[in-house]
Amino acid sequence: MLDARNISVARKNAPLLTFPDLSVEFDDRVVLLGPSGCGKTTLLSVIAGLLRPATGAVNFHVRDVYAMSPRARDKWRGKNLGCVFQTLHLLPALTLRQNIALAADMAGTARYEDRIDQLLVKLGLAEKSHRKPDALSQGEQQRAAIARAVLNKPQLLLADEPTSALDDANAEVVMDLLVAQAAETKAALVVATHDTRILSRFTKIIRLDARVKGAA
Amino acid sequence: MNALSLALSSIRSRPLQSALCVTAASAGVALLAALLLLSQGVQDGFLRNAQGIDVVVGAKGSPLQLVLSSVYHADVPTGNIDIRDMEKLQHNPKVKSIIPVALGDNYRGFRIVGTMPEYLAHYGAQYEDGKMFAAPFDAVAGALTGLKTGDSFAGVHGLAADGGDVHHFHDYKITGVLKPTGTVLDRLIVTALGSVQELHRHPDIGDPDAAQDMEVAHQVTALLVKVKRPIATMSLPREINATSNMIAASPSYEMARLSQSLGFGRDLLAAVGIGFVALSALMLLSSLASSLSARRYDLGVLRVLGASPETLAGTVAAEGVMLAGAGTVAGIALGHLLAYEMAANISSLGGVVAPASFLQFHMLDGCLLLMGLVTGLFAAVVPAVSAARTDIAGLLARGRA
Repeated sequence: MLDARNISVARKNAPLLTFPDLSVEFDDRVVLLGPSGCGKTTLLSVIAGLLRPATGAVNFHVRDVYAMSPRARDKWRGKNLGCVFQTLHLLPALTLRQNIALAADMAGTARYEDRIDQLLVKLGLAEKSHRKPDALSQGEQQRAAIARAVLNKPQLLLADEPTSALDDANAEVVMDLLVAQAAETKAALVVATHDTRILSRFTKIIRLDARVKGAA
Repeated sequence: MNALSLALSSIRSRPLQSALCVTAASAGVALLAALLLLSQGVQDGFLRNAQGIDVVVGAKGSPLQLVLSSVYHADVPTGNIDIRDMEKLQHNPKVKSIIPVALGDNYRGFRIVGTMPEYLAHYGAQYEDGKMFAAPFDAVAGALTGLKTGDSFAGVHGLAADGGDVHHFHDYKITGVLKPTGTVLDRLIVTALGSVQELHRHPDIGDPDAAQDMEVAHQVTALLVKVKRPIATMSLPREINATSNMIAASPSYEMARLSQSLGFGRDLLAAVGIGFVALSALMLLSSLASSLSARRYDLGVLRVLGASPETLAGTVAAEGVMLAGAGTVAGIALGHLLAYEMAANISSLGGVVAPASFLQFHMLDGCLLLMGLVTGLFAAVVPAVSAARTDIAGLLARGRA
């Protein structure tokens, strides 16, 4: 479904950052494992069509993601990808429900209120759907972010360090959620992490070292 | 959720900053609006008062003084002219009609104008109450004089409320009160020419002005002349100035000259108003910029969810335009109120501008609104472009800032 080959990324005043090839199929649960600073988030950005690589190509169903027009790429991402980035939080000005609906609004897909209701119930957020994010616990915010990521039934669910800030019990809960939601929407799951506690959840492990291509 | 509703929710999430922005914008716009409305109103008022009066003829002196005293009732007259000069002028082929005015007395500062019924018709006066003067010493009161039908009073010599001798010989009696016209007529007491002349023909005993009063008896202060053809507006004054001991002036020419020399002050005030608007635009820019830096991650979320850079720019621009629009609308409303208050409370503006006219929609409002929206859009350009260029991958890689 998704192939990323020969990917390397240009950096300011530094050599190219190169990445191992990556291939994701339906039902795959892939973990990108490596220490902080090795470029996990950068690789996720490349896969998500947010960062044009210096070399290599990202193909989604044989379509070159970076050959699309920027607008088409944004639409493609909105429809086919669900992203749970560590730093991309909920919009504080919107209610929980509006935050989740945002996924449909921004991707330009139809907004199914039933589906939002279902997700809210399933993730235990139904009671708080009209609260602002500030009034929610960290765990609730994270669940809302997952709900938002899976609203459009994406084919690929990307998550960046979803568990590293959590204790063992909560890490388990979040991983259960991610795996269950991915399975339910038949999405492939790609998680970038340095958290080795959750390795058992994955079918494919890709190790990233801070590998740097020589100046030559 | 679209760019518009996202911008709205962003505004609502920062109520204090947004309110400050709107307040600053409205203060600048209000000042500018009040200024423009008042100066436009004064100019219109001058024109309205002078409408249909092509040439003013009076005793030798300053032409501006003649126009101010006899048309706007704002200065002392240049002197009196003989009634026979009016009769002579009536035979001039360039002249269509003449309305004489005799000034010199007042009641509580409201000038008593001796004239002919045509004077009232000229201003399109309508009666709120009562009717036209018929007998000698009957008078009709303007809307702002506070007089009522049936009131009687003694005229006071002079044109100001303070001082002057009271003409005890005969009291005036109000036979009618006029509706507001938005002209000087509102502040005048109008009577028959003969009443003013009659009053001065029988001087009070021991009146030091007695000799002068006798003179007044067959004199008028000025003649308001309507010409037959527009060209005569220029040629008639030349003719009169060259061939008689009177002077003639064109109100529109004199007022244009006056407003030209007063224009500096108005330009200065307008510059201050525009400066205010520019300042509030800067404030809007700084508010948008700070809102933007606080919302970087929000914008990142939108991009990841499939929004295009244009959508991000759109939300920021919409925020700027909405804040500026709200400020402008509030400012325009405030400006109207300010102009109304000033027109209602500054007595020298009475009769020149009608306060109520400032409570109506004005063509300027449209221009100001457009200006406000465009200014908002301009203030939003830099933040909007910066929003569109948000480097999502960089944002993600750096982690929570």
